[in-house]
Amino acid sequence: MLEPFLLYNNSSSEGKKPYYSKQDIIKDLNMDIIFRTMAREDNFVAMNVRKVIMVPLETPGQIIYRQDIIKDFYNNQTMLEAMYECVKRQQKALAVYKEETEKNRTRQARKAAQIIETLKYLGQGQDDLIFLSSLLDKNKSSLKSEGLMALMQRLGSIKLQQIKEKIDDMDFFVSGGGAGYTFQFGGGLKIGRAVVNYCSPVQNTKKKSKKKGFQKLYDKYIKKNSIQINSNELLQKDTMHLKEFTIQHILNIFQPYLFQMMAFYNHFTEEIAFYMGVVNFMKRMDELNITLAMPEPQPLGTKDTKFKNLYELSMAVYLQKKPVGNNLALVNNLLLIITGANQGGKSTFLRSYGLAQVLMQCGLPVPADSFSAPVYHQVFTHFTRREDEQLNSGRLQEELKRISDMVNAAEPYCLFLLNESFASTTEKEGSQIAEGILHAFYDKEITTVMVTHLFQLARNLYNNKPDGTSFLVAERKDDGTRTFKMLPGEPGYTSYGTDLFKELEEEVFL
Amino acid sequence: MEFQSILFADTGQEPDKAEPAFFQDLKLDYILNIIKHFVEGYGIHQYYYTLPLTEGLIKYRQQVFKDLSDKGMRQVVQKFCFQMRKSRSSYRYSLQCEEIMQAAAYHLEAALLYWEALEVFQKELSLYSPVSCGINSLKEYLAGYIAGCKEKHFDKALQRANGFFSQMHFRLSVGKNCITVEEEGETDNYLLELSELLQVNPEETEITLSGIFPNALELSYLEASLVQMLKRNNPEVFDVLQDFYKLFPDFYSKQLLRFEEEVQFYISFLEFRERTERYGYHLEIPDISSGNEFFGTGVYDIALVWKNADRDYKVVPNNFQWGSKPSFFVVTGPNQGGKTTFARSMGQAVYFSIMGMPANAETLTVPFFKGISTHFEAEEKIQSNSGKLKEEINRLIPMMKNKNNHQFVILNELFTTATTNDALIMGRKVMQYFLGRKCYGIYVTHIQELAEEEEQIISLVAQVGDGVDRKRTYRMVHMKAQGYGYPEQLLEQFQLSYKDIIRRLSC
Repeated sequence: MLEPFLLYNNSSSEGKKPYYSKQDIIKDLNMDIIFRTMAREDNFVAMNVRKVIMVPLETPGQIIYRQDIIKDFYNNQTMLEAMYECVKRQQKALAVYKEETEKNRTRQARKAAQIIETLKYLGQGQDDLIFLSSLLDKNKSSLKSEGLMALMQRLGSIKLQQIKEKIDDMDFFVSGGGAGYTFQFGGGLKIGRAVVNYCSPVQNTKKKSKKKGFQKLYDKYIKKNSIQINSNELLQKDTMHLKEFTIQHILNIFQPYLFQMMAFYNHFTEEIAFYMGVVNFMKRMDELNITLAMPEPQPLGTKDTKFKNLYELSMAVYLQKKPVGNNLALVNNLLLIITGANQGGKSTFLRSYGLAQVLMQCGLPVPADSFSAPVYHQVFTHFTRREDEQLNSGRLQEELKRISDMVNAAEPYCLFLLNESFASTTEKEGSQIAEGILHAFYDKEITTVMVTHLFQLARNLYNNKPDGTSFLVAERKDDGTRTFKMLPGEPGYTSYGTDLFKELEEEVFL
Repeated sequence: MEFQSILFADTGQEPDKAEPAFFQDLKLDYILNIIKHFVEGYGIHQYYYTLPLTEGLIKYRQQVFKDLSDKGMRQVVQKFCFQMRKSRSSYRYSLQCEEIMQAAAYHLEAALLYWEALEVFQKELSLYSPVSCGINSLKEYLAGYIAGCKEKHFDKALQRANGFFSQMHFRLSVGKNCITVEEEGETDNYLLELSELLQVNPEETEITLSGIFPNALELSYLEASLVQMLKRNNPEVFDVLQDFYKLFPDFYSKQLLRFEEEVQFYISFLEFRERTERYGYHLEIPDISSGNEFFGTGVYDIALVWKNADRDYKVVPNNFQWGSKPSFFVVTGPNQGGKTTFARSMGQAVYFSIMGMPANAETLTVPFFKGISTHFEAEEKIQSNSGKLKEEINRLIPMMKNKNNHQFVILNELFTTATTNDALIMGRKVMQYFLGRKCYGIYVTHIQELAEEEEQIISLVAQVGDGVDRKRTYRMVHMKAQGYGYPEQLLEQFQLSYKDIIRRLSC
């Protein structure tokens, strides 16, 4: 089977569904800055990392499969680069092929021209398959991942060299070799049921030698039954047509292989571009001395989450140093409410939490010393949006519509990250709305992490404290300094917004 | 009965080329357009246009439908038709070819395909025990016909000619400068070898080349050269070909050719039935009652089913029961309530029934009707009001003038541009006329008074649900005609009913 399968152990990424609200996730978790780091200005890599990362893996097994491949590529960067070169070559070959095919639509002798283009493309593709097979073989000893080993075996099991010979045979069409047929007369004395005996780019000496014993007789026979082509224009035309027909037929048989090859390179290109991005990213983090850890994914349906020194990656990339990290160990995590000081790092924490989850679910290392969390079906982010302010009167409706759309796609074992949701109405109404939603999520085993200023909501929940509910407060020292640490604690009635106001007052009035 | 026609038995009835007047009103033109795609290459329209003239013929067809509903038996017939098409195609070529040798070769091919079709058809048909008079007499005819051919040594002559021909193999080598031909075969098959190497499914690959020079009527220069070369070396083969051509110039049975065409009527409709049933709608062979019984359950508009085939849309079926005497259903109710759809579905059911086909209903019993007359509002035409009434009456005239008895009549929204009083008078008169002619009918109208029940007038009302949105249920219920809520409809449309206003204010 001609398939790279470097993203999933038994399929390509075709038909895999991205996160339902992937645009929200990219925006809310500030992912563009991470994509940019991965791409290093290679648009092609940018496009593919974006695509792959936004499709969540569904089991720890799938995640580890990808983690292992990442490790292999990280340790064999020259091999990865060679593969990327190959991918680029194939992309170019395909572009030329497509362009020529398009041109051939209007050409006079389009049939012949198209055949030649197909042969060229097929030949290049085959050469690179042989190249990839030997590249993997050469690096065999240092490869540990199931994915790359399996690819090597798969390529090894295809008779690449023999297929290459057949592709070369077709050169008879271009270079003027010969072809032999056995045929019967079909209906209306038309040539029917013709069997192709051989085709070869050189004159078929092999066939003649068979007859050696009857050479004399044979010569006589040939003379009697042979017709010169050169002297006869009509015959020339018919022979050309026969050759064209034959090669077209051979190409038809090659067609499934050609499609497989195209699909192979199509998938392989996406996969290698993704890994290129991942390795770029890891190298960049190395340069900045920022730690990454391979997370330990837990099966769907489990709910324990723990991490050490989790920090917000986009901020790290932006500041080019490691920001304040947070530690947490949650058992049976179903609802996590974060309250506390404004400007205390709540949103940053929420983003770091979400980002780590998304990175883990596409197989990537995460910005932490360690990270272990369950796999979720979906991650949803519901952050307040600056531009929402323009809508003003319709804002709550917009928020509710947004969450209602998400609920359409939600099911048990999903993760919702809510940032200041339902704050666009009175506290009472907002709390009421949120309480109903959170309660339903809880009962349906959807995990919610919510940053909120809805005191009444947080307070009610804190008083009842159902199993699996935790409360974090953004730390504020007595002097008003923020440490950006999230600590377990009781929701307070103020978020110390007045602190900020004070600052403003000071700035403005003093 | 000597087999003559699978569609008209021995009645001698001929198909009608013109589309019946009711076809468009019942959207049967739309349905037929779908049906015809199930049997590409045959002209089936005329068969669908022709109503059987006798009750016996309806039953004859129903039996054939029952037999061919068996998918296996139907496939046997389809296979036969397919072979016949191939044979006829070669035969057509033999008539069109100018080169006499080539014509003889096509002629032989046509005969071979024909004979193979006959033998296979007979053999495969013998595995089934049909109940219909039609298929049974076909079987009998086929046996007799094949025996007759054998008596004339058709099969032997065929074998002899073909034997010579099929044993000839040639080897053709195309080199850079010349081609050579030898009279023997090679065993290497490059394409087979290649498809094995590439692991291509052999069933999906053609490992021999055919149709290299596609112009069937003309030999390419290369082919002509080969023929000349071989004619020189093997003249006897070409003699045998010509002998057969002269001996059996025209070998087809007229009855079987007719069968091949006419059986498409059945095949097309059964394929159509299967597809319709896949959408969840049943088609049942109706009972043709000898008296006036006329009732059914689950009648639905089959055109509506197909129009909404790719959407999540449920077509609502209806049940109905007519009185013991010819009578009219007068259907009233809200706009968009399904009145026209109901009328159309009834018309379709009657049409299918009297065509001897399975009909669009769960169960159906229908008296024998001699025809169907419909009067629907004409497509939008720009004309004044008085002109429209005139146009309506103009179309009514031929329906009433021919004085046919035992028709099924559908009158949809007649006289809408007349005053209510006038429309009432005219409407009653029209119904009385048709009742006098022992017709059954449906009269869809907005005029309640027309639905006042009498012995032969039955009032049906399209129903709306109880909810605030007054949703249509598309069900027709036998009840006294009542107000059908024009003002309500407007209120509903603009959400200005009391309940609506309260609900919206409390949002």
